[in-house]
Amino acid sequence: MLAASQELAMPASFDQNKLLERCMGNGALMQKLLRAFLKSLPIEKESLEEAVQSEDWSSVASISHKLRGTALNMCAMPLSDAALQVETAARTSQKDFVAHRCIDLNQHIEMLVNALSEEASKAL
Amino acid sequence: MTGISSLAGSKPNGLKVMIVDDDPIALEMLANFLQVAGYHVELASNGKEALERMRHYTPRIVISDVEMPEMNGVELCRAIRNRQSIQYTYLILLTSHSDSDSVLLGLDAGADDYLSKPFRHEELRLRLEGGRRLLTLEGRDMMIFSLAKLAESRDQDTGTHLERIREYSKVLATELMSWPKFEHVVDAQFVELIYLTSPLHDVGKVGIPDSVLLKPGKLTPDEFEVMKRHTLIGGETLSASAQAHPEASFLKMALDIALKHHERWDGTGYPFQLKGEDIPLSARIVALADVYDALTTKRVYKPAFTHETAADIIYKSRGSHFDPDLVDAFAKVEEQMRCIRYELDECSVGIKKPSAVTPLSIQCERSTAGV
Repeated sequence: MLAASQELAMPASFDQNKLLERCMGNGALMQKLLRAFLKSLPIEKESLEEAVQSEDWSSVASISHKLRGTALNMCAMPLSDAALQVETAARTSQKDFVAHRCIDLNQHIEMLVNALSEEASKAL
Repeated sequence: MTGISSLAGSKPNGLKVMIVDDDPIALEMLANFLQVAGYHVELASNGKEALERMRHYTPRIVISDVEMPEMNGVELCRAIRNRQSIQYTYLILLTSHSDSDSVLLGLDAGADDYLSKPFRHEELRLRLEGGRRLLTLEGRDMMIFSLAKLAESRDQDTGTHLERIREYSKVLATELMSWPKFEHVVDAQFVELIYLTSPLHDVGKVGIPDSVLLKPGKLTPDEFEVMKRHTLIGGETLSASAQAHPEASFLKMALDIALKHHERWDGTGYPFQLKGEDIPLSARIVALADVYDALTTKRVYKPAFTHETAADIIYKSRGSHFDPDLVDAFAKVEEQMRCIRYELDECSVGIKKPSAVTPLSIQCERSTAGV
């Protein structure tokens, strides 16, 4: 079995050491959370797009808020920052700004998903 | 790593904590931290689910996210505070910077503390320790009163005697606080301690046989000698604890009160015939409170005297049974004593409703909740 740090090599937008520290050094837990995170990201992305399309700004704020919290816990700071931008724009009813920020956020999500999926498949 | 080694000193001993968050990753991460630290953890994904689980699981600490579906963290705080519960639940809100208004709402709804996301191990550990300190204090206070209630439960006609005694004692002690003579003796902590420990004054009655304790009518001289032993029994019981924990000032005061609240100012009391200021002030205060309550309460061998009759007896005992200063203090707080008697037993015979019932809380200037 590969060591925890070898199972999923982190892209630069993750702070792997910090994440392992937040998991109290529990590598298995870190891997479990990463998989859960990877699984949730496309779902959150889709929900966010739907909310933007239907101009449901309250849902946009709520989804991006949750995403931000998860990203903070997972030590994915760039994603967390991008989610905060969307949340702030949605809460202050800057509708034009929301769509623009969402594009940026989606890019962050895609990059993370692709990078982590690729590393995960290498580890198999 | 911040967590594991620094957590070794704190011993939560399986204290129950519920984590409430709609983010499963946050739940797992927090749960892992708390389990490593020695807490027993239960999870819920929103406030509604938390409340449902709390019907069967009684967490002492709840850590909740603010923004959640179904029921958010602020609503959860409010719901927990509105429950009828025999024990306090310590509430910590998990917030992000954009939740600053929610923090205020949460604190207003009854949250005790808050923590910024993502939580830092050391900060969470310290916040939990703060919560545990408060819960330990509550446990101590509840244990003391429970012990006193247990002792009292064998006595048939005392009703809310303990509740009144601590209120009377507090009122008398609070009055003394403003007297120059007592300014170095009676402070806020003294008042708090006498409120806490005065209910233990008769704890020694657990060792008095039923044939004496429950006897209807007056006791024979021999039976009275047996009854008098309750001061020594209570003293011995509390003395062991006080010696084992000399830092616990409440045990020292509880011991003084249990052992010496039947001493009289003129040296004719029991068990040691102590005189004047050889009797600890706390015991002198409870002595007056206890007699006032006995006089104004109906017993199998006597009717309840009116406040005026009871007060008259106390005034006549100034310098004999009671410390003259305390009788003078009683004179100043007489109306508050009458208020307490009325509020804590409205069915009492012979106790007139105080004339100024409307501004009672102002008149009594007391709070039962915060002490």
